[in-house]
Amino acid sequence: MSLAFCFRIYFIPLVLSPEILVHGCIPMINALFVYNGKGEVLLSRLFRDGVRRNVCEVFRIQVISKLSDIKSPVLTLGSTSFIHIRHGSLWVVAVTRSNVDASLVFEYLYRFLDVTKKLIGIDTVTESDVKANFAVLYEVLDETIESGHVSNMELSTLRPLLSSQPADLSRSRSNSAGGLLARANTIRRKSTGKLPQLFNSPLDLEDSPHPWRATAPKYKKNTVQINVLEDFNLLTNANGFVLRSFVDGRVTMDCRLSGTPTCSFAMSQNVSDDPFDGFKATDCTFHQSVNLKDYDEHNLIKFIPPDGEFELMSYRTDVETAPFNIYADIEPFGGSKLSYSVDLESTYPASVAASNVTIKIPVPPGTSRVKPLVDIGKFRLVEEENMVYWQIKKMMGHQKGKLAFEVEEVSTKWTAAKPPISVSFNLASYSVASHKVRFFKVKEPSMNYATVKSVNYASKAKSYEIRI
Amino acid sequence: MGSSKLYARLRAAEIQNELRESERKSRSSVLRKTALKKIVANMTMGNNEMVVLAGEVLALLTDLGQDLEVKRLVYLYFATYYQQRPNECLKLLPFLDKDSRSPSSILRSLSIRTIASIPLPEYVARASTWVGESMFDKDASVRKTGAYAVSRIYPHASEPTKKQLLQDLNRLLHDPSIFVIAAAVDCLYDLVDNQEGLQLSIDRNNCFRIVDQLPNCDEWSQISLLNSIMAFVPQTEDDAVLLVEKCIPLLQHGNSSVVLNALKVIVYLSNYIRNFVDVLPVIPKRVSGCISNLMSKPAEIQFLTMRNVILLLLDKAEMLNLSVSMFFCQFDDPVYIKDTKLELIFLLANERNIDVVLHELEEYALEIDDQMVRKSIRAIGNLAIKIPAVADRSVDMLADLLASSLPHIVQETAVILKDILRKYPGRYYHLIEALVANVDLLTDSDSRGSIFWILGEYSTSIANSADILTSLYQSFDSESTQVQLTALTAIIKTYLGSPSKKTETLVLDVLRKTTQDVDEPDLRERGFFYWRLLSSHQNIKDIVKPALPIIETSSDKLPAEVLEELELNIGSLASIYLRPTQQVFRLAKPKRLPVSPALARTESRASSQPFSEAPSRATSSTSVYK
Repeated sequence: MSLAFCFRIYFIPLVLSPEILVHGCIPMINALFVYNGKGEVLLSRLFRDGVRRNVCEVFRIQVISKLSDIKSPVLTLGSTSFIHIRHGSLWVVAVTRSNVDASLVFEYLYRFLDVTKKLIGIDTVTESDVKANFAVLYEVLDETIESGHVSNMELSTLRPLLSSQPADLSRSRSNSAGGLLARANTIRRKSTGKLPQLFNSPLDLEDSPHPWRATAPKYKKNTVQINVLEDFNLLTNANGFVLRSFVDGRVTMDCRLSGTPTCSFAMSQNVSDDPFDGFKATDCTFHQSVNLKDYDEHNLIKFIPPDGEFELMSYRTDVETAPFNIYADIEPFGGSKLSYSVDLESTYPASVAASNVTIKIPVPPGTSRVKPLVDIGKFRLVEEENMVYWQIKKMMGHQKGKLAFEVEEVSTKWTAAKPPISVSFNLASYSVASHKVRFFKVKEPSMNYATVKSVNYASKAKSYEIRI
Repeated sequence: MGSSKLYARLRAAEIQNELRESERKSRSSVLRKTALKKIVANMTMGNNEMVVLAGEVLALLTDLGQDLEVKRLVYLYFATYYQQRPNECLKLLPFLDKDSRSPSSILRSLSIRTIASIPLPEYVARASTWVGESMFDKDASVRKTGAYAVSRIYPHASEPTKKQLLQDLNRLLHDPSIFVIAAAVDCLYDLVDNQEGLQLSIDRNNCFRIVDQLPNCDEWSQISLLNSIMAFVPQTEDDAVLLVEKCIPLLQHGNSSVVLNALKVIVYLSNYIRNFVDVLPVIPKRVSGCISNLMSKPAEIQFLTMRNVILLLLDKAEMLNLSVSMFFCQFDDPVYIKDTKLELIFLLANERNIDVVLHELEEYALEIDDQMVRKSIRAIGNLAIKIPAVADRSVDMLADLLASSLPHIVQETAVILKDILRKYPGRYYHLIEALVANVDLLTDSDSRGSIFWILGEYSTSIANSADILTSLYQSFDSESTQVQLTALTAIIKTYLGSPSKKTETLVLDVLRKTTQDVDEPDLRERGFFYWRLLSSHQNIKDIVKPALPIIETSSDKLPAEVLEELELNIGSLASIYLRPTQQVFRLAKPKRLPVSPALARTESRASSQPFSEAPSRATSSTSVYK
């Protein structure tokens, strides 16, 4: 396929340039640093002239050493900008000297963390992970930022370019699917000899129209694991009026399919029979492999998946019924006392069980003794947080619970600025937004194989706040 | 291998010892590799003693160069220390030379990347040849590296070489691999941005071909190609509409940068389409949908998104159809998110959603964080000014809040009240009384200045203004200069409004103080000024207390040309600061909408704002409500 492009470059003498320049912003990263919580540099890589290595000191002094809240994720001093994100105690910082496309830099920084997590097979990256794997991470930086420009970032095409082995696998958690995957891959790589990738056939992306699937692997057993993961968010005001109630959902997949298959996928809300009905909303985004035009025109989610784990789509759906109804009543009585009464009711079907339901209820500072009346679950006063924890290990659908207690009110000011009640829970095998995967079809043009599919639903609370 | 041990700060001599000892041991290659890692880890931490180990590092490369990991670390070492150790660095060249002819594409790319990152004269001399050759490599990933490397070596290259490199880049624009094209586009932009006298343009056919390629390439190439559309100037409205239609599906991409860049292209093209939203009625829904998606990304991306939403609301509000509740604050949002959400709530407030909005703002006004309290009070007050129909409700809420007698609330209400009173002359005097009841809580200079001003301006409408003024005046000596100036004027105004024995003593005292005791020249001058006016025995009321122009919030809007430039920079750092690009980045080249027959806005802007030259360019405040 040959494309006849003809960009033209003009040399325009300086004096005679009345024309106005139009162009996009140049995504150029001059340097990237990773710091630990104390501000010690763990990774330091310069990509372009224009900044010196000791520019990292400036950021440490100006941001990390100042113990105040982060005022902005971007700091510009002179014409040098520091664009930073935090991950646990780590700081990941990109330094630029021009008006860069900040969206690209943020996206890169998060992607860099993602790639790190997947390579090492862990869920959170800590200082010791970075230290143990710094050689790999330098390689990742080397291959993903070319002269300050972000290029290839897809794990499947990146992995063959790396020579170092991720270290310290003992830390990877066996319960995370990513961990298992990463481990399986390293084992495969280890068996190929001492210098595994050096003289392997070069990665030929030239003829591949889908750069995220570089090779056409072969599997004995073709499997697809689909995960529908939903984070529930709710915000109500003190009168119980719902300000916001929605689900941040994502569909992740672990595709182990031979050849170059085309997959189609549909999911809908339980209430409707039309398989595409629940997804007419524009509030969803897709992995780069999904043909957005097909989705736009025919509501079809069609794609050639990358090999292994990836996030197919994320979406946001409004939810009418929260998984729990919570009524909190806080009344002053008997002079300086406060009486709390909290009713809890689960609204999901009786066959479903939520685990680790925790309701955190704020109490006035200085509260030290509380006598509760509670019919299910456990009750605990956490004095250092000024919170009461009501914890229920397992709660079936359509179940009710009640908690009542009294506290001495210490200061009247408290009523003006109390934090909200917050709720956390885990619901396995259940979608809070009642989503259901309708079908998943695999079509490989030259091979004919059966695919073992499994679907897993899980919901949890992300920001579940009830103002009081 | 212990991970943290690698990062232990070591002296160069210790590593030398370790290397010497390891040579005698059986697993020497593993041990020496560990030593190399220690060197690079120490280098990372900024332990510059590692410079002296250049010879040892070179020896490691000679012995263990088969190992790609070793090779990368050695190259990184020399890319860091080439300035301090130019001689050893030269000895690296043969290795690079060998790699550049290796059968492995990974090594070929690596050698190109390394040689381009070391600007020693000997390297520069070779780099242009190597980079030039790499752009002809049979492997696409090497050609990509070559294209990117041009942006590094170009400034150091000689004139004929520069010309050659540009030609090679232009040739890569015809490359069969789309990501090589994207790399070449990136690099050309890079050169245009940093070198004087270059300009990039793209014609219609190529632009449409690029757009057709968009669905088939990886996300980072999509971003580069979207940017290349910004170099296309649509000559007809139909072209612009076609391009926008092709970009709309990208708003649903999972990569937030692709989304924002697609949005940038759409906003850019919308300038070339008259009645944009009528022509493409899906736009508000799609754009709002993509914004609500971006709002579930990490905080930093939310922040960037919201800054750009502010920009769009100021100039292209018709493209959005947002629900205000999307921007309600979470208890644990970072400060910068809360601030930006507050601005958006203010901008999105209208007669229909005012109840929800006021309720929400009241919630914030009762929070612990005093900055948040102040900003929400200010927002409530500014809403009263922005939307006359809701002024009553906003003011009622302020009155309710005043009743709480919390210091931050009272202070901030005092500041905003003077604007409300100016906007609605003759109304809401009951708020002054509520404020006066809490006058002891006004301890900061902003709120004290404000209450003095109110007392002076509305002295005739406040029952006992002279008494209040007298009691506030007690602390005159300890006020800041600004407050003192305001107090002086207020006392004169009160005297002129209601001359009495009480106000006369007050005037005499303040004039004596300012003209005799005070060292501050401004204050003395103003004291003398009033003294002379008063002794002129004329009717000076109109001079001291002229009719005030009615204030509007829209005066805070950004100038049209700034908005225009910022819209061409959606998603960039300047869009976070919402300031003219040159104010933030001195060296940035200015951007303007290029003129074409289809350009819909130049004339309309010019006619609607005949005095657009006059307003100051001072946009120092990034906040839309002050």
